[in-house]
Amino acid sequence: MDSLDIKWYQKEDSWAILIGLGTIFLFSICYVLGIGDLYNTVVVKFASWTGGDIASAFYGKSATISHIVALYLFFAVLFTIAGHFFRFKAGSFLAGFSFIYALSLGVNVLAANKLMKDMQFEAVFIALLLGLLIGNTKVLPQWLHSALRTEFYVKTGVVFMGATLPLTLILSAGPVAIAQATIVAVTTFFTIYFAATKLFHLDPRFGATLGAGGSICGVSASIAIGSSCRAKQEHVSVAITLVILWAVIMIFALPLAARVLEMTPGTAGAWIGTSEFADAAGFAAVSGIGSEAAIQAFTLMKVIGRDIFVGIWAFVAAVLSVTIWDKASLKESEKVSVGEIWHRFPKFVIGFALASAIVSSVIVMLQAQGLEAAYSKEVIGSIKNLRGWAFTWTFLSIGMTTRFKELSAVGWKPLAAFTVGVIVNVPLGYLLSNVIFADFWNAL
Amino acid sequence: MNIVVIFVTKVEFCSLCRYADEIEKVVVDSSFKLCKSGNKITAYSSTIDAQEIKATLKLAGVPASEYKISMDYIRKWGMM
Repeated sequence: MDSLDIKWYQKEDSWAILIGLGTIFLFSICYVLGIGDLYNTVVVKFASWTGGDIASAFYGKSATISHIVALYLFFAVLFTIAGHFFRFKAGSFLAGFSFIYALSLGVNVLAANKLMKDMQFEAVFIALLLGLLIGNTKVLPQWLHSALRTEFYVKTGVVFMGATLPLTLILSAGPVAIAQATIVAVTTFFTIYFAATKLFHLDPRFGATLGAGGSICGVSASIAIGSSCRAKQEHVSVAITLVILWAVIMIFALPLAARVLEMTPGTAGAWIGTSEFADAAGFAAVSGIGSEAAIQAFTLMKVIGRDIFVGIWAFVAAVLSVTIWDKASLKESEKVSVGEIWHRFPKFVIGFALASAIVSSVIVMLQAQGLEAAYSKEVIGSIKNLRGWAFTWTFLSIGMTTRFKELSAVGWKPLAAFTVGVIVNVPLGYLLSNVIFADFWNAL
Repeated sequence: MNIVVIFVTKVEFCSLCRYADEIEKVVVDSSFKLCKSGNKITAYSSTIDAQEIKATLKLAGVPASEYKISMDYIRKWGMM
């Protein structure tokens, strides 16, 4: 029965870290050895094109067939190796990934169109809409399902993201991000929890699972807190469904609202990081702002401010579960291990921090030779490009796995409780990002 | 309701503890699969959740201090 006990090398987080850090390490070595052409072959970037002149998208030096094939092979090999440990069938995964890759090429060619750029219609939006269209109008073949690994792609993208954020920025922004996230997370969690349990008389475990989904880190939090407090399977499913529904709405609503409210990129990114429910959905939303500062503020807010605390929330939920909620029905309680915090900790965040530390260290070492600017342009630029591809696959996967028909029938009570949380969370996030901590986020 | 997660329930106990036989009987009767490593016994199930097995153990007269139950939900598919 070992098959039910998941080992570290069978987890998405582990492979996201290995692939992300391995790539950063490899690119850095290539740069130091002066063989930058090697990593440049996996950088695919389409040239801007106008009207019907789609052929000019392929004029750039990074949009040749050899680049497109090299990028495909690079990730197909790495993901298939990882997939072997996730127990995918290699053939099915490869077929599915090939399909997603082909779609992502089309998406990025379309996003390179001048009209799309003028409308700030980023690749991730197109990927999401295309995915939603396919997923909600076609029955997807089984071979495609194993390649729709939203979490895996987004975690790999987040590790790449770490390479683009200086460690000093993470350390300086961390306390503000944590303070803002804690205010919003605690307020939203207890709003949803009390609405669920006191107003709508739902089970406290259900209330905690809903509260976690709406306040900490979306689906991952619902799963972590649902597991730690031992919520029922259908309750975890309802919480996840609500997170997905609201997250998809917010992908479009938050960037639109940020534009209408004329927010700066930094404050908009922090707001989205505070008020969007899931990491993947948040990256889609913040891409709509079209600024690296917005992406940085979002990442600091979401990953450093919110995600890293999921373990502590899970521990608290586990303690409440066995000392209060269980005791009411079973009249006795068990011990809860502090190890719960580590067990639920999102390990890919370690990869994010290590990526930042590695790149920041290399930059410091290269400063003596005056090579840091070239390294940033070459290596970090290439990593940013790979990050973009990882996020495109993420949003295609989100679209294709978000089937609105299957997300129905959650019941009005949990929907109402969650919505009360949204009504509190969004204005509070705006107030903190755009008023109280505005100077800080604007300075990014 | 569309169920979007699967779960694994884990009951851990020591083969030398006072209630080891009772715990083993309860978990085996509940179709848990056993994995023994030294004195540590771990029982797994993906059909009986933590609350159900805890209630069954209580009915069998096993105190909660004699075992440790944990539960992990896992996404059924690769959603966000």
